Amino acid sequence: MKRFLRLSTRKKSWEQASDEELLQAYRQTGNQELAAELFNRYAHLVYGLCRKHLKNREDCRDAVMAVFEKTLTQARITEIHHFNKWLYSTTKNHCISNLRDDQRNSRQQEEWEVLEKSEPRIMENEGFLRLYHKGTNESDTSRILQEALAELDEGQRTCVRLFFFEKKSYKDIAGVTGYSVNQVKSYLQNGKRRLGVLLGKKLPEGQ
Amino acid sequence: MNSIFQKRNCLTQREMRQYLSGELSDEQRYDVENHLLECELCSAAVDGYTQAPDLQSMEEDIRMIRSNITASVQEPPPRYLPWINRAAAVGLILILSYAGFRYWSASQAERAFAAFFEPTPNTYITYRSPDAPDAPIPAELARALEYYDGEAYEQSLPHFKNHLERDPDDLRAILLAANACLLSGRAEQAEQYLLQLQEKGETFQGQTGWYLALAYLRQGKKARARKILERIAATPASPFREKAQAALQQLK
Repeated sequence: MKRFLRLSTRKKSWEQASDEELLQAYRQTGNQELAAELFNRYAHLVYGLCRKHLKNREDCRDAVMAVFEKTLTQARITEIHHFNKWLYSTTKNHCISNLRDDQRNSRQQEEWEVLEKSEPRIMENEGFLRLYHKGTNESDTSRILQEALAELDEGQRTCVRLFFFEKKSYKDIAGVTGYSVNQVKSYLQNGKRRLGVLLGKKLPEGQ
Repeated sequence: MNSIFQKRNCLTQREMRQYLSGELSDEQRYDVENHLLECELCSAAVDGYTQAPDLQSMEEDIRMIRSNITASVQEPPPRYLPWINRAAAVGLILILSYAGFRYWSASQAERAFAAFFEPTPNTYITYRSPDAPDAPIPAELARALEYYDGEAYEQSLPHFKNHLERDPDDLRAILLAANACLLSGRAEQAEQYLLQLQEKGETFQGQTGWYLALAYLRQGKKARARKILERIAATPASPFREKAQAALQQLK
């Protein structure tokens, strides 16, 4: 309670508060400065996302402000659990809506839709999380991981090994394997997700 | 092994800049890229920054956006209007001064009234009715005088009124009724009785003027009171001359 009261009145406390604390305080008090503090943490990311799809700087600036307005209204009435995920989907939908509204950008929209279909969605890796949180024995974990890795496709396995075990960058992996950076990212995202699924199956439920 | 599963916050703007310009250490770069595999927002933002030609202009945009956001949620500062403040202050001073003057003026008249007012005594010895000179004193007048003598001035007034309706020329009764009004805080009514008395002739003229002046003082009508008092003060034969002079002195 004391923490909440501090949050609602003192700016210095806002800077140290977590996203969840700011969201809760904003929902309860309606103090828009709290929402602004929270949104400003992500403003550069929202802008980058807009820039990816809208190209024009002015459109991007307007889009970020529009997403902030949505944040003000939505965060007041709904409970947002993962603010960065909520921001991603809200911003993405706003950009799609913008592109649809703007007839001149019809070509850009097609590009966007193609891109949407080709981009695999990033999902929470449940197998990894279970492995991480349940404190599985180190040697068992290593064995299970090797078994799971062996079941990955060649491209995925290579990229996963180079990235997670040799700590190479996307660029370095692209240089070593001859894949493009985007292909490397795609292999890594898909490989990590698939690895998680495999680990989820291999690890006993109770562990 | 645990480094694969490490959770971290989204990229700060500084981290984003350092990552894009290759300024991060291998360990930091690994953390960032591992996070990018999980976080759609950061991953898409990195794509956006990578595609844009000019990182500096984007950072200017972000600076502008942040300041717009901060400004949009802050309460506008109250507009400072010095002339309104000054006008209000002057207005307040004028109002207070006027109120003070009115209070002082009224209290000065009140003080003069209190200092000089003495009710005229009941000087009825006999009553002479215009119709029957030897008639006994009327019941209403008798009641009025009874109250008056008992200093129950308020109660005497309706009986004086009833009596004067029947005998409007009883000048002594009019004078006593005016005094009863002054003593009951009914200066306006006293003024009416005294003006009536003034119109009816020479009898009691000295007292009429004096009590009329006091009735005006009681109502705060100092100018009228002063005019009458000056006339009395200039009349050597008036029994109220000295009192009028003293009252004028006090009113100065």
